[in-house]
Amino acid sequence: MSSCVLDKETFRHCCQLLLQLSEQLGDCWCWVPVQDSQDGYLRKTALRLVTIDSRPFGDQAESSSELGPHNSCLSGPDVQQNDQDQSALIGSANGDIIRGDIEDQDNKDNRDGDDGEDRICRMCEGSSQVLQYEYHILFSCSYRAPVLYFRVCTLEGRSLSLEEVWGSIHPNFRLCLQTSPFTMVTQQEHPLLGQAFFMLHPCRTEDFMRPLLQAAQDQNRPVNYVLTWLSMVGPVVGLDVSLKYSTQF
Amino acid sequence: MADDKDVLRDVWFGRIPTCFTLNQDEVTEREAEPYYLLLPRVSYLTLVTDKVKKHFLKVMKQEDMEEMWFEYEGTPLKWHYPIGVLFDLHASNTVLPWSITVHFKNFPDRDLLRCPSHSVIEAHFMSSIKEADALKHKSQVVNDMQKKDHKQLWMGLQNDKFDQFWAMNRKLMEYPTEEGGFRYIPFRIYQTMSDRPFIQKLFRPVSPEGNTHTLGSLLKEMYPAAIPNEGQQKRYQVVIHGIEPLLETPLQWLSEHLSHPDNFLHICIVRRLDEPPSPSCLLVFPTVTSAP
Amino acid sequence: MAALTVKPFAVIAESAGQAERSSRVLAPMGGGRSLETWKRHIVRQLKDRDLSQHLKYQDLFRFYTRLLEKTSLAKGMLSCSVRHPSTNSSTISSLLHQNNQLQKTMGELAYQVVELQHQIKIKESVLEEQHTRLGEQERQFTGVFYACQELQEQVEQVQGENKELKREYDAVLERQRGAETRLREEKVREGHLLEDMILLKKQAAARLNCRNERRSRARDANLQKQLQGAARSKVTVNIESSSSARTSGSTSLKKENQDQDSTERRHTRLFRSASATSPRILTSIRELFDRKRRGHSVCSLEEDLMCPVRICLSARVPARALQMLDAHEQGINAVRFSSSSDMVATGGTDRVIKLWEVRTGSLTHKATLDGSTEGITCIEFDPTGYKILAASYDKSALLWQRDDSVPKLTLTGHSRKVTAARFSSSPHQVVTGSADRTVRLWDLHRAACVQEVEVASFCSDLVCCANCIISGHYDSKIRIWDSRAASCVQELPAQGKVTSLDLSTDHRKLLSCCRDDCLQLVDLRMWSNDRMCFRAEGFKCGSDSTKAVISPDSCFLAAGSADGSIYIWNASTSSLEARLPDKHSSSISAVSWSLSGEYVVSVDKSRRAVLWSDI
Repeated sequence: MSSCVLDKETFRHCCQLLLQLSEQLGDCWCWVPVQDSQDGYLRKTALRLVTIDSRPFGDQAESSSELGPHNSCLSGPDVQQNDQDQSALIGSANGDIIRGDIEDQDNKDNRDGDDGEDRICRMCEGSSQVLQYEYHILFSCSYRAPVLYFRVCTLEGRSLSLEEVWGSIHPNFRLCLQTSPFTMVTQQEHPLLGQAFFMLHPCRTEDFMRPLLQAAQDQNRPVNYVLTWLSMVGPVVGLDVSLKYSTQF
Repeated sequence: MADDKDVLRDVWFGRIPTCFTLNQDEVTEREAEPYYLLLPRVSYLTLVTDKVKKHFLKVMKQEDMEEMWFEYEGTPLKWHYPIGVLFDLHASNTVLPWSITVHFKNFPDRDLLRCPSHSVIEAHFMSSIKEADALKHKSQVVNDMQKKDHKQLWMGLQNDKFDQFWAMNRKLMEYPTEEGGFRYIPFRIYQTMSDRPFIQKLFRPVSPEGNTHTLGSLLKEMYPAAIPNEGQQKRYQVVIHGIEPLLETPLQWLSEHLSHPDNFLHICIVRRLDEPPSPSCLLVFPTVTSAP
Repeated sequence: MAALTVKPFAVIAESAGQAERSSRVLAPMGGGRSLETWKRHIVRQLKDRDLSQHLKYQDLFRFYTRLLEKTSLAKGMLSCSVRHPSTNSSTISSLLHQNNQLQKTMGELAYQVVELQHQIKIKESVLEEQHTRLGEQERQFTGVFYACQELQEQVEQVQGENKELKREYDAVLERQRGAETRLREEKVREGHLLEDMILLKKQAAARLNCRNERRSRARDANLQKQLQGAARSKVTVNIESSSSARTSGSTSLKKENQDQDSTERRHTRLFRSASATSPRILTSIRELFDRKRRGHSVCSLEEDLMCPVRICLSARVPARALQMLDAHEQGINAVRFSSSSDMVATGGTDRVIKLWEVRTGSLTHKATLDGSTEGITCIEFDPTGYKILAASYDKSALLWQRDDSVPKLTLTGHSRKVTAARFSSSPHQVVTGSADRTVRLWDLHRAACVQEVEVASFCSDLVCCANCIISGHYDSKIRIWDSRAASCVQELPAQGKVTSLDLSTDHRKLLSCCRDDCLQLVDLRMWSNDRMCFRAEGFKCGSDSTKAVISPDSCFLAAGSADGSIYIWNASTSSLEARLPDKHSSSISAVSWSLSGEYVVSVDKSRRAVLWSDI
């Protein structure tokens, strides 16, 4: 299974290839080294016009006709039977973060939180605006996988909250993130910068990369792990990877 | 090992006397009294400050309160670090009690994570445990646990139940005897000298030659500056849970006993103060007084 | 990877430096002397940390929080009252009152605050003090720790020395063991050598003895042959024959003085050569000599007396009667050869003792000893053959000298007839037995009874040997007495009335004759009831005083029967060796075997005495 996990050197190598392609294609990926260290990360900034759906997640799901059957499971993450324990936990945590309302405990705190959230949501409701996205690709030595960090701010420089980010994700992906073990979005500290970023959690990366890599291996096809992975997780958070990367490659 | 169990208890029940004062700029109805609290070192700021919030709520209007955040001498305190780490990293040489300023405005979005509810802390905590287990056992132990086991870990921490937590955490600290330790030691080395918040790399408890790695060997690899050269004045303190373990302490033992509940060994490297020990230092390190 | 292989000492040095600030006391022993130093360090530091950061503030914070709650409560009430100032004047006074009370509470609380702050100060000073004490104790601990370490080193050193000593000791022990083994081996070898030596010596001694014996036997046999030759030559000259007899006597004398030195032997030879001319002088000298010797030791005398018997290794079983004569006017009760075998004494109911010279197969009357008023029952020669002791029916015992017919001594005291009188083993003492059931010991010098022993029964005969007296009784018992203590040592049973006793020349065997017509031979050394019985068809014990004898070589027994025949048994096989009939016409009362083994004399109740020999 050595081929299914990524080591640091391979990561660096993949990144370098990606950078070369990016240069050729005029994409704006760049390598940012960290001071006093060999570590670094790939960075790309992009401006996107995004419509932020401010409705609570449950409402959103209801409005989407093809998601109808999932209504019940979305009403409470605890009853998602079709998930594994592991993913259920993550899912539930994730769901909690996104919805921000928990009935069982800490009512008061949550009430406060709700207030703030509601306010922001109201402000952004239905509006479409230009947002600045900053994507970072880092290597997680714990999971031996690449991790996508990103943050979003308005042109005025206000950072988006997790709820807003969630709202910016396309509804189809939103469901995907909820029900599949692929990944999920949480707010985390950037391990190299120490700043608050959003992150697609890498703990399942190996699981979904393995079949791909094996297939590639079976067909004796060279694979750029980082590129392949990015093409899968990137679109979720608005990072589209051009097909040209793959055709060139 | 009665000693070891004692160490676990001492680590768990470590407390920091803290004085919470409201930021001067906050709009209050009247002067806010400071609030004093013994903060558990292994817990998280946002998990144990409900009372603080409640206290300041008395003098403030509801509409003036946004998300509460904390600051010490100009540094926003990251709630997602264990309290002990925050103290050791930023305030280990301070006069006790630790004086924290409470803010309800101008949340520093760039620096701090949002913490709208305890479930965020839980998610963060469990995520840390998972990452640590990915390092220690390739996630095998944590994946074999049931959801209620995860809940037990979290509830143990939330309610300050040592036995409840350790009944489950014990499993996470096991390792095959023949390997002499975990696969990798989950550790983070914090320092305040650069932007990079912490160092986290792969490091095994036993060297390829079969020698046991110690705290010293870890630092030599990760942060050589922390180890004073021979005859040179010591420039840094290596602090874990408010103490300075000897450098020959085996890393595996440290990981098992001095890790935080999130299963990471958080090591703080603090620049040593050159001025003569202040009274606070006397209090923090009372043995200094006995030195000739 | 180089950084991973940190040299331990470097780490130690660093750790020592690291620990320096917080715990200088521990720094010197950070070198891994104790594996758990780091752990102890951690435990202690954690305790210190809790002390300074936790415990100190615990109470303080609790107090503060309580106080805070109280004040906030008070403030809340205050603000409440301020916020709603009542228009009602009546309530104003109550509010004022309330205000007063609250102010009072405030005062109290303020006082409490002051007090608490005071307490805090006190506690802090106490804490400070404890810290100093702690530091002091830690210093002490370090001192003690060093001392301990030093002592441990000493202990190790001493242990090492001990080990060395032990090793040396073991070596020495091993050497000693080896030496002991060698010693044992040597001893065993020594024992073997000693045994071999003893064996060789024994063999040598045996060979020497054998040679000596052969030589002496040859000499004796030679002598005997010469004697016999001389006897057979029937030299008519009387003096010749007597001189030859005397030669035999002098031979015995020579044997007597066997262990005397050669000079003395030469003297006796001189005497012997002189004896041819003056035999009397020889006799007198011999007597003197014997007496002198007897005065010294009785035992040696007796041994000396036995010597001629030893010459006579084989007694000759008599085959024919050499002479028959009517020796007394009445029945003869006793007969006895002298120890030199050249004299026979007979005693009879006719109250006299007759001495007969035995010469060339015939008895010649030499002398008659009278003095007894009743019949004679028993006769004995002393070892010199010079004195004759007799027991008499007249309740006395009499002592004669050979050349005097008048008794030298008459021992009176018994109340009934005296049945036996014998010379004791001690000089100048005789023992008598009597029908009055006593055994008496007499001193010849004083002619008086010195000891009297009461016996349960009639004493028929007695014999003496060294230190003991053996008596036969009518109650079918043989009693052995300790002559010194005069107490009965042992009782031997017999089949009937004991008529006579005889002791072999070596004093080992005791012959008893009983009225059940059986002779009994007891080995005295055995101290047991193991005995040999001798019977023969036709043998009948004729009277209560029939006397039987052992041959001088202890090989044969002889006794006279009521039918007038003499019966001779082989002592070792208990078979009848010979029966000599037809010479006596009445019951034989006594027989005597010469010490030379040549002759036997028998006497009967019809006055007849018969001399027997094998030729």
